Amino acid sequence: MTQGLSIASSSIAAETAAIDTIAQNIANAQTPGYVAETPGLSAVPTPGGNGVGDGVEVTGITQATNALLSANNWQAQGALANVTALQQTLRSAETLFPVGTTSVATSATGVSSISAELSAFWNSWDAISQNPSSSAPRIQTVDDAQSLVVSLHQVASQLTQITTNVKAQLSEQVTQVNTLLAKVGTLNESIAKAVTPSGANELEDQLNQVIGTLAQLAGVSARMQPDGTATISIGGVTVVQETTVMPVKLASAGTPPSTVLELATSPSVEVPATNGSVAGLLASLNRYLPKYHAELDAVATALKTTVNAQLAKGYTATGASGATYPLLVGTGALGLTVNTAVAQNPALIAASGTSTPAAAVNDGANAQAMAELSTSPTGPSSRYRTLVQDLGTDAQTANDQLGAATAVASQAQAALQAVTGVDVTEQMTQLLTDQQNFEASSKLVSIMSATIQSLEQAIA
Amino acid sequence: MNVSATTPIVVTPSVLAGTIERDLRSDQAQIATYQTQVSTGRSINLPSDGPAQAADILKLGAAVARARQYAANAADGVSRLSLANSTVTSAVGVLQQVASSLVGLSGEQLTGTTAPASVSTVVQSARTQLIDLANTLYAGQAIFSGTGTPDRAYTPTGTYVGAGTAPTRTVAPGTQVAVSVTGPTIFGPTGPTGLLGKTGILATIAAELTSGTAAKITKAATTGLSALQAAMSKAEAEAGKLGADQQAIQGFSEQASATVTSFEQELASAQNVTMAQAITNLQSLQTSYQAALYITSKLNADSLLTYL
Repeated sequence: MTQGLSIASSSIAAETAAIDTIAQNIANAQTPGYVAETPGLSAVPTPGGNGVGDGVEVTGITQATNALLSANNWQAQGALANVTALQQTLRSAETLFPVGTTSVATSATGVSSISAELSAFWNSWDAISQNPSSSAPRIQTVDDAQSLVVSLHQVASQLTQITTNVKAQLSEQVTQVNTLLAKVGTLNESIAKAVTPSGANELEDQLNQVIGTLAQLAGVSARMQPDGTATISIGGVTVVQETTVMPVKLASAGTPPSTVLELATSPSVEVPATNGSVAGLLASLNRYLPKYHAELDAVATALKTTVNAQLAKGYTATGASGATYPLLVGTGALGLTVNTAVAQNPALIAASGTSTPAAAVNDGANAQAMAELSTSPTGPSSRYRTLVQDLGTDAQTANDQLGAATAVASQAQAALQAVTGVDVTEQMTQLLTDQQNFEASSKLVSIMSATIQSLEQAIA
Repeated sequence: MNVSATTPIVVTPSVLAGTIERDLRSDQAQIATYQTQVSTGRSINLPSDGPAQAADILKLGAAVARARQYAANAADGVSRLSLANSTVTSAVGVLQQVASSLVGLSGEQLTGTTAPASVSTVVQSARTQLIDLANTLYAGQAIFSGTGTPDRAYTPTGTYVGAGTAPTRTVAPGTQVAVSVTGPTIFGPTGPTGLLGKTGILATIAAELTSGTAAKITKAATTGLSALQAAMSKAEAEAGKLGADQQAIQGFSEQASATVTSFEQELASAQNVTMAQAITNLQSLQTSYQAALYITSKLNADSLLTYL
């Protein structure tokens, strides 16, 4: 009889533990990285006696972990962060190249369409050829050249600004990665020291959350060890093992120099980040932005070469060779300027096609030929279109990839959540059962108590 | 709305919330795209909206700008040729007057001095008038001076000071058309075979008429007259050619305008959004967005907790 009382008591204790677990699960239903817990119950055998057991005991609180789904989710989140970082860079780069056909500012960045400015510039040469001896159309051409150069400077410097921003963001994220790697080391230490495996459940949850963030930042992969600690690696290079943490840093390597991630302690070991936002930023920095810089420089070079080469074929009104008076000087999109000598004296523009001074006075044949270069396949207009198309294709690909990666990441997260997440309905149903069991056990105690009391009364 | 690939067996509230949030966000992004299209009236606003189309639009924009310039070049040419044509016609008129005055000199008039002297005055004033006509300006430029001195083609004494050939205008890709002729083509060279020079036909006739010598006066009325008539028919021929050129460039001008229109239409169809379609898309998307919001509010409100 007394054994029954003890069994009922053990049941009350077990149901209490179960209800506590449900409370903890409900409380953490929205906690990132939280893994639903279940109480492990086991019947207690009794030594000897009437063969009835000795109630129930809580053997531990187990977590509904799933290593494969976790790894999948981390991988998917890392891929999503990678594409997101790249897409954001490309999106800000493409706003510098609005698809406008007028020379007014067409975007929020205030950048006018270089393509429209080029058209105005080419057409201004025909205006010179219509009135070669007048200074007005020549001044207009110099003005058009100047605004074209200013636009090129503007776009080039904004591209440089994007590069600078990406670098700053990258170094910030690398600092964050190192902080989190150190945290993994600390958590590993605490987990290893935990007395019972279930005592480390909350630490495991924290570790999961940190690894999740690391996966988004640097695309880390994690291997969970039997003792509950995590071994973290980036691109195959181990960066955390038990309590040993190897911080990473940014460095410049190769020719042309590209930014790479390497171990801070042994600089020659490159850490090839292929996922996470760090990888996306590295790709922007090493592959995409330099390409657009180079293509913009090619536009500037083509403009300078085309214009100056045609000028060299012509003569000024006094018969001087145009080779002496190039219109554009300097290199690259940032370095290109209008030749000061010509800007101050537009009469030096070699508009004439003949060197005979008498006939060169009012000759605009060379200016006329210049205007026809607007459609040159190697000219600046054509190169600018190539740049816009390349950038557009890259940005469009990144947009598409982002859509796909988002779907994959949500899918992976949902799959993981289905196993490890807290299903409130399930928990409530469980709570009802536990409540009923608890009430039954309480009733049992009360019946036992009444039985013992009636027995006592009978004796007395 | 995005269609989730496969629904996991257990759908926890956070999975549900995540899915709904993602779907709503995707709807919002799509709405933003259509709103940009409707507000700008363009289907391609950034290169990534359609990389190949973006390049095409830039190319068409450049083609429109270039075609407009061809139209402007042709219009300039039409004006110049029309002025040149009317100027040469006037010059021919002046020459005809001189010729008829010379033809009037006959019989006893050839031996007198009064009649030849008055005809000489007519010839001299005609020469001045022709030099003025030869110096006709368009936009501050002498139309018959070739690519030489822009302010005049002839000195007051009738010496040609222009140089080079007649200027041309680009009226279509790779097509240059002359928009005038040089002075000597109409008025002949500066020497004795030309009309305007100091030793030219008109000066010679005027000098001969005032010489008082019957032989010289007769020479002016015969040899001089036939030289004048030859020069006149040459000028008439040039006027005819200029008229033909004017018609030709008028044709180019019309063609350039037509090209502008056609490129503009092509550009519009490449970059303009079909408003009706965009607005319909936007509205249907907004409806589905509202439905998604309604469902969201319903889904999250219902839970087992309500019934416990």
